[in-house]
Amino acid sequence: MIATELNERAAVPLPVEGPTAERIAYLESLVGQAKIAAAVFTQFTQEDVDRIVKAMVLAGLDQAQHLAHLAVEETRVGVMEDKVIKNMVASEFVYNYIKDKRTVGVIREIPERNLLEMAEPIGVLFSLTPITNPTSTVLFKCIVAIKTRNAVIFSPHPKAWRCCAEAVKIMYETAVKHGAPEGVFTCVETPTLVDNAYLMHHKDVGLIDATGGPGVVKAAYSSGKPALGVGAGNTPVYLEKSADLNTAVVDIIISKTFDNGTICASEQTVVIDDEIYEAALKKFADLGAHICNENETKLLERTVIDPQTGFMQPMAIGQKAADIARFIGLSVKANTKLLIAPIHGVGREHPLSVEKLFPVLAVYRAKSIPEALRVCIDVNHAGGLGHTAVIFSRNEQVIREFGNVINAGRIIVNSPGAIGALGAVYNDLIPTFSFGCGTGGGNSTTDNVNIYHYLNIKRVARRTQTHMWFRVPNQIFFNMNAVENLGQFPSRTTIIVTNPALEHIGHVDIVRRHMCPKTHVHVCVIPDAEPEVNVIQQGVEALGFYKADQIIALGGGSIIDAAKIMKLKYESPEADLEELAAPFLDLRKRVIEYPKEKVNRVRLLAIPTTSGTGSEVTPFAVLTDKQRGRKVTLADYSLTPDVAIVDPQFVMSMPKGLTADTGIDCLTHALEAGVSNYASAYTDSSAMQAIRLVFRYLPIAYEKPRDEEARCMMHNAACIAAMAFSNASVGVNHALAHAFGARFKVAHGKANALMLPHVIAYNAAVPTKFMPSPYTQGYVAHKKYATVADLLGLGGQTVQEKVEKLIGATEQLLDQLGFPRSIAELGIAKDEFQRAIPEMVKAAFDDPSWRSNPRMPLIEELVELFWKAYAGRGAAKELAEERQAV
Amino acid sequence: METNTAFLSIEENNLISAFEKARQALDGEAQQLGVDLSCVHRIDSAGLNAIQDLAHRADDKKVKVVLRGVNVNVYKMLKLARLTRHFSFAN
Repeated sequence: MIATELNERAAVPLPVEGPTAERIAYLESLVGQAKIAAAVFTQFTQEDVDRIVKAMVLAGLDQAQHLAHLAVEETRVGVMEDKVIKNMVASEFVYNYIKDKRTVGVIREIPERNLLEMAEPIGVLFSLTPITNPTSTVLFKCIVAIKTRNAVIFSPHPKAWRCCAEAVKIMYETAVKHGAPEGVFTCVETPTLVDNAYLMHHKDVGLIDATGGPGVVKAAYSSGKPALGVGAGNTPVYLEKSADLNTAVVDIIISKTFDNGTICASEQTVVIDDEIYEAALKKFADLGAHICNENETKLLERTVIDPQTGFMQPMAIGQKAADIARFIGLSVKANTKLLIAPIHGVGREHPLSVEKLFPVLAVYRAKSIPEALRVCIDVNHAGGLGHTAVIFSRNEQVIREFGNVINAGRIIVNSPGAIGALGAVYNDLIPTFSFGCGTGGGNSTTDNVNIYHYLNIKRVARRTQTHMWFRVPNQIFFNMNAVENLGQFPSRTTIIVTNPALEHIGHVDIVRRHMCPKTHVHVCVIPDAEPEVNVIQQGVEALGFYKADQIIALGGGSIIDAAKIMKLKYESPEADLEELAAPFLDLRKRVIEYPKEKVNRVRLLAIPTTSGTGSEVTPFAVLTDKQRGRKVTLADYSLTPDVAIVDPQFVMSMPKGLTADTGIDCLTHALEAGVSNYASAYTDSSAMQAIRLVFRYLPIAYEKPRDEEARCMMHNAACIAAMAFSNASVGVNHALAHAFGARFKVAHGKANALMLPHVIAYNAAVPTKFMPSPYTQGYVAHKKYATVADLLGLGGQTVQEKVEKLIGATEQLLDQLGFPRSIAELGIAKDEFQRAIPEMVKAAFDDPSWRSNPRMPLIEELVELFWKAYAGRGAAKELAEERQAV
Repeated sequence: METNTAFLSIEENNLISAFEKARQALDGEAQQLGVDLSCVHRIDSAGLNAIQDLAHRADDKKVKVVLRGVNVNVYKMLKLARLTRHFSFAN
């Protein structure tokens, strides 16, 4: 709007002296009426408001000429005929946009996102309207307010009060006649700065809608109320050499002369490419513009711009070009539409580069596109930030560049700025008489203000369950001699990754025997420890050297993990392992993506030689970075082997200790997956079956290592448990075991065993802190443990008794397998353990394993769990005692 | 101590006169006034002004006004008009 004229009524800060008591009573009566009306309005239906709105729009159209007459007569600003058009646009075009929009109750349903949007009226609005577009702004705001069930107190510009009051009266009477609440619109009589400040600060005013210059906008924002402040502009126009010159010149004249240039989105400075500059000026002149010479330009600068403030002179606002010329002593033809003044820069030393709400247009000759864009940016920053900019061009690249560098809520392309910005005439912008100017203009929005800015939009968000998944390798071969299936996988060159012991006892030979004939086989023997970076690198080099198309990982978890990472690095050499190991909360939402582009392709077959980790079907791999003294866990389904061969012949010779360690690792996987927040019917079926198999067959496999059935079932159990935790993840037991195992060099299975009974008791108790999870309904961990107890036939009547039975059975199993039953039994001194606690707790809390645990572990709870594991045995007994105490 | 209570039932088509009666009832002996609004589905500006008057008069007279059967839309309207604190509500 206008930078100067509205400053005079701005109130920043609140005037020291408030209104008189009598005036306060008057203003309070306006607010009181509006408050009652707004309250009553909340009962109205969509049909009610639509009926009223339609009647108001028809009244606006009917009275468009009458109101335009009044406006010009009172303000002496603008063109009556153009004001009629404005009034009609404010009625008809706005109606056309809003008529089918829902503004009551549910206004939008987004079923695919489980969202409903519902409308809540704001209540009482305090609205300031300008001198330049007085009646059209009132019509617009009244229609939009009724559509959204709000009451409005209007404070028109004092120099446009009578026409605005008449517009408010017409709208009010029509609205009430068609059922709107009484008092829905009021108009402050003889409004003053003090009145405005009082109303801006009133507790019952919900929103200030201030259309005006920066002063009034700032006053609105300074009030502490939510405000829509729509302020000054300074529209740059880039007339680029590829533009259709005829269209561009006519459009600029239409816009700049419309209502004598009073629309704040109208063109202010046209930057013209050198190549078309002369032609453009000639066209302007041919169509009725006067091109000023240097002296005439200087005369304009001195007269229509205030030399003190640098702003336009109010006397020129909305006046005809010929009248302005006559007034300042400039000789032009009587029918001159526009005064065009060439300028050579932007800023205070170039007075005509500011906003001019009258038919005076600055033009600038640019030697290049970069220069043109720079000048447009300068104009944009000289009072027009966030408002409007215009470009005439057929060069899409230049249009986009202009849009990129100019900060304007509306960037109008190949059409008139003023009418284009109003929306719905030359483009599909939302029709408005309030232009949001974003933060550049001190506003809260860059939108064309309309119904949605007069509403509180409530979002009803239904609980959404993210899609779940169950992902396992394409092919799993199991039972004795499953390795014979290797023959199904033709390969030119295969690298077998294994460890020295397995090669020594002949496992590699067994594998070789069953591979496709003619396959070139190379054996990559690596230490049977968690793989290190340099070991991985050697494997990747071997893959590259032999141009392998298949990897067979033959070994325990470490060997298979190494093969997974070798495959990753071979296929995607650019993969940054450090980056891929970045922490995440939800596997599917994490920041880092695993590479999809592959330089090489290789099939990975995993043949486990232990029955525990299940790495043959998991998407995880652990890498040791010795240089930095830490482990890196990689997790992505792309790491999952393509084929798993779960053949128990490779575990028949497993030593007892390893059988126990890996077996309990398998049980921990299954139990944690079973109570995980990511557990599903799919993972439950695997987890429960694995638990059943472990309790039945692990003691046999431990006591009778050559028992084929027990070995076979435990081998299957490990793979099945891994399928469960690959998809449901593990829990706090693993977080504790990782931290403790790493600190005291204790085998993973053994570390798990030390924690397991305590973690079951912990998870089965009512959590101190529930873990947020959209996947689960309610807290069910204790019930799931009870289900496990039932599955194992452990007895018990209540859930709690069943949990106790499960803990008891777990402790009994651990005893059978000869596990140390406390950390103290490992010979770790209490003070040493005490010193390690802070570091272990930090590591455990950082461990992603617990993210799906049913109970969110607090730091102090992790400390307590560590100490329980240190003290050992008795979790079941403790639980029973707690129950009895309760 | 026994409470002297007056009761009024209000229909939607006679809101103003009914609230006027309620106002008059406040001038009598009643220490409590029960107003049944269960037949009222919507209240217009005049009706809301009448309720506002009733609320202020009841405060002045220290009479407790219990509104019964107020539907949720009317209740929200009373809340927005900041009138709920003047009344008690019964189902």
